[in-house]
Amino acid sequence: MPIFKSSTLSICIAALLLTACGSGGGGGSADAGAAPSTSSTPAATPVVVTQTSSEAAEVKTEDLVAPEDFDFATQQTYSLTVTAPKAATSQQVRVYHNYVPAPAGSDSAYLADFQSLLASTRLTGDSLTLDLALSVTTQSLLVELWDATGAAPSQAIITLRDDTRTLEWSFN
Amino acid sequence: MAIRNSIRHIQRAAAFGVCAIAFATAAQAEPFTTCPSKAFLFQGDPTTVYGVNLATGTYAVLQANTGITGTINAVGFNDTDRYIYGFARDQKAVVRVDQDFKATYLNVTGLPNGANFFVGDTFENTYYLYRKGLGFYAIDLAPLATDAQATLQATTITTNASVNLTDFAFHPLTNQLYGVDNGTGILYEFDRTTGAARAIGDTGVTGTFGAAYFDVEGFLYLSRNQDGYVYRIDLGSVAIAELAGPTAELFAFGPSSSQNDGARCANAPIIDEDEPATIDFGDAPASYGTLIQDNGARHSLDGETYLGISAPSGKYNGPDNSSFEDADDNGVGFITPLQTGLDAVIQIIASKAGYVNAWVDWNQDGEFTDASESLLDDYLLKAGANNLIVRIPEDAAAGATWARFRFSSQQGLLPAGGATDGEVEDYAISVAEVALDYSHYPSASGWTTLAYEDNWPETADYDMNDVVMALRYSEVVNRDTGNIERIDIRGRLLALGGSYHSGFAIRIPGVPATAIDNARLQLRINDIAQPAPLEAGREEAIFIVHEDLQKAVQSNCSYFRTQTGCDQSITFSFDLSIPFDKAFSASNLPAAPYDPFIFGSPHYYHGDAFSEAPGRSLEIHLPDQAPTEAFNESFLGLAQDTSVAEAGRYYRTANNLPWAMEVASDWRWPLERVDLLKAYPNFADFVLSNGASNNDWFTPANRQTDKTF
Repeated sequence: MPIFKSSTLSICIAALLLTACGSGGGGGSADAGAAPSTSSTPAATPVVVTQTSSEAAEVKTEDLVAPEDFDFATQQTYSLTVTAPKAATSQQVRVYHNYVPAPAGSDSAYLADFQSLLASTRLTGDSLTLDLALSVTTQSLLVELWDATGAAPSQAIITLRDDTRTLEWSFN
Repeated sequence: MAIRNSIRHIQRAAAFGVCAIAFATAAQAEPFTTCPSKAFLFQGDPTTVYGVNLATGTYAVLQANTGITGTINAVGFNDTDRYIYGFARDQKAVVRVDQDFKATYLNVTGLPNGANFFVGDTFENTYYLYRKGLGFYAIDLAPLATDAQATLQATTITTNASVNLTDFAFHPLTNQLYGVDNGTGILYEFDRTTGAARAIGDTGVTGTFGAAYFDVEGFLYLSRNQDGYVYRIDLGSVAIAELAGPTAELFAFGPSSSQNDGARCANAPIIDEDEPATIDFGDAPASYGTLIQDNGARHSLDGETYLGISAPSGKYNGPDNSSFEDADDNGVGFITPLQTGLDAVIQIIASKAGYVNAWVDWNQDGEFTDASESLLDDYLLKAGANNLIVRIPEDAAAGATWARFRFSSQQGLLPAGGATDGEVEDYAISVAEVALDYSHYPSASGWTTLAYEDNWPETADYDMNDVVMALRYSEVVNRDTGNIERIDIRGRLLALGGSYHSGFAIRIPGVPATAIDNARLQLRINDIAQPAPLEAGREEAIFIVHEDLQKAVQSNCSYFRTQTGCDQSITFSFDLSIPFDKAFSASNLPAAPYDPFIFGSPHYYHGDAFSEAPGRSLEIHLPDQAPTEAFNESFLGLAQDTSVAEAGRYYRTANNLPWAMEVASDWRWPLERVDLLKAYPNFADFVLSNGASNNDWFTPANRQTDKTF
C-alpha cells in the first residue's frame, strides 16, 4: 500500500477539516495495515495542510482511507445476562429498546413499545444470557421478567455504555 | 297550496322574528359548493341537522336552528343545484335547505291538501315524494334556477302507494328509487316514471329506517331510528343482489332518534380523500374484513382512544397489499408463546379506559367469524397496561394466522364494521405445538438497511444506492431443545440505482443446505408464493430471493427511487420463511444479518473487468465477508478490489473501503450519483476515527435532506 496516493492525500486533508483531524482522525499510511481491528485509533498519521472550504466540499467517499479492518458497523453486539430467583411458574424474559413511562397508578413503571421487541425467551435455571445486536444509537433497554400468572412484570432499565459490551441485571 | 304557503310565511314573518331571519337567510342562501361525502341527518323537533360519517357512524351537529319550526323530513340532496329539498311538517310545505342548513319555504301546487310526507329524494332536478296510501309525486325544480320564488308544479306519478316506507333513495347507477319496508324488511325498487314497486328481496332487518342514502359505488345505507344502527346493502349490481338476496350488514353505529331523515349526495364516495384522513383501518388480509368496500373494521380517530403508546394516524382505507405494515400497531404484546391447549399471557396497553374485543383465526380459514374465534368480548381495559391470561384452543391449527384487536368506548363491536372511536390493530401471529422463544433483528418491527454499490471490482461512485434493501430477521427457537425451528426474513427493496442487473440472495454461513426443510421452505414475493429459493447444488444454505431485481420493479424514472421527483411506492417485498428439519443448535447460528449479498444476473454485462457476463459467479458482499462457493475466485483482486482470501480480506479497495454497507436502522440513501459524504458528512469522521466518533452519522439529524431520497 502506498504511503499516500495523491487522491488520498487531498481527501485526508479535507477530511481533517471536516473532522478536526488533529485529534486523531486518520489518513492512509503504510502503517494503517498493521492496525488491529480492535484499535480505536487509526494507525494513519494525521497530516494538517491548509485547504479552502471549496476544496473541502469536493471530498469524495472513495478518497477516504479507512483503517484496514474497519467494519463500518453501525450496530454493536452486547451480551446481556439476566439473573432471577427460581419461581414456581415458568418465567419469561423480554427485552425492548424503546419504552415510555407508564401513567400514574399503573402496576408497572414503564410501558414497552412492543414493536421494539428484541427477544422473548423463557428463563431456564437462574440466569439467561442473550446476545443482542443493537444499533449504535440505542441508549438503553427495558428488560422485563414475567411469570405465567399474568402479574405485572418486574422491570429494569439498563443503560448502555461505550466501555462495555457485557450487560448484567439481577432481579433478585 | 302556493298561496296558502305564502300567506302563512308572511304571517309568521310578521309574528316571529325567527321567520324574518329565515327570509333574510333565504336572500343569501347559497348552495353547497361540493358534492359532500358526509350524510346529512335531519332529526328531532325542531329539526337539528347532523353531519354523519357513514364509514364510522361519527356525527356532529351542523345546524341546530334551520330557521323554521317543526321537523323537516323527506330530504334529498339535489346534485343539479346542490340544495337539499325536504318537507316541513308544521307548514306541510316543501322547503329548500342551503349550505348553512337554513330552510326556505317553496311555493308548490299539485300536492294533496293537508298531506304530510316523510319519504322523499331528488333525482335530476326533480323532487320525489311518497306516502303510503296516498301516492307518489314528482316536482320539477328547474324553475328555481331563475326564480327562487317560482311556483313549482307537483305531478302525480301514481296514487297506488302500498309499501310501508319511511325513506327511500335514488341509486346513482340505476337511476331508480330503493327503500325497505319497515315491517317486513323487504327491499323494493320503485320505477320513478310509473311508480311501480318491485320486491328485490329480504334484507333480513326490520325497523324504522328513517334515513336512506346511496354512495357512488351503489351501496345503500339505512339508518334505523330506534338504535342509530347504520346498515349497508350492496346494490352495486341489483341483479346479483336480487339473486343472492339483498342482505343488510351492520355497518356502523350512528345517532338514534324517534324522528329521522337523511340526505346525501349519491355521487360522492363514502370517504372523501380530498379531506384529511380521520379513520383507522386494520391491515389483515382482505378476507378478514379490512377494506371499506368489505365493511372492514374501522374506527374514527379522536386522538385519545387508542391502543399502545401512540395515537394512530388516519387512513383512507385498509392496505391493498400484504407488504403494508401499520406503524401504529403497538398496543398488544404476546408475552408468552401461543401454544395449543395452554394459557398465554398477553399485555394490552390502552390510552384510557374502554372496551376491547379480539378474535383469532384459530382454524386459519381467513375469517374471524367462527364461533370459537372470539378471544375477548367487551373486556373492560383500564388506562395503561392490562395483563390478561387467554387460552389457546386444543384444536387451534399450528402455524401462522391473524388476530384482530378492536378498542373503543363502544361495546359490541364485531370483527368488521365501523366504530365512532378507538383503534383496530391486526397482528400476524404464530401458534405452535411446542414452546418457542423468539429473537428479532434489529427488532420485531424494525429494519436494517443493506446498501450496495454494484460496480465491483471497479471503484464505485459511492452513492450507495445501486441496491438498497431493508431486512428484518426473526429467529424461532424450540425452547426445550435449543434448536432453531425457523428463521423468518422479511425484506423490501427500497431503491435500485444501479445500471447493472443484479440479483439478491442471503447465505447463512455455516448452516448446511441439508439442515433446511426444503418442503416447507417458503418464499413469497409481494405475497405470491415463489419456487423454492434454496440454491441447488450448494453445500451451504443460500437462498436466492430474486435473480434480477431490475425485472422485479418498474421505475417511473431512469432508476427506482433514487432521483428527486421520482418517489413511488415500494413494489417489491418478500417474506422468506426458513424451517429447519435437522437439529441445528441456535447457539451455532451466526449473527443476523448473516450474509446478504447481490450477484450478477445471468447473461448480463457487468463491466469491462469481466471478459464475459459473469452472472451468478459474481458476488458483492459486506466487507471481509467471504463469497459463497458459487463465486469465481479468479475475480478477486480485479480492478480496484484488493481482496486477499488467505488474509480473510474481501471486497475492499486499497483505501479499505467497501462496496456494501449495513446501516442498522431505517435509512435514507443518497440521491442518484450524490456521494455519500455529501448526504452524510459525518461519515468521514466515522471512518477516519475507526468508528470512535460520529457513529450516528446515518441518523436523520445528520442527514442532508436535499441530498438524500
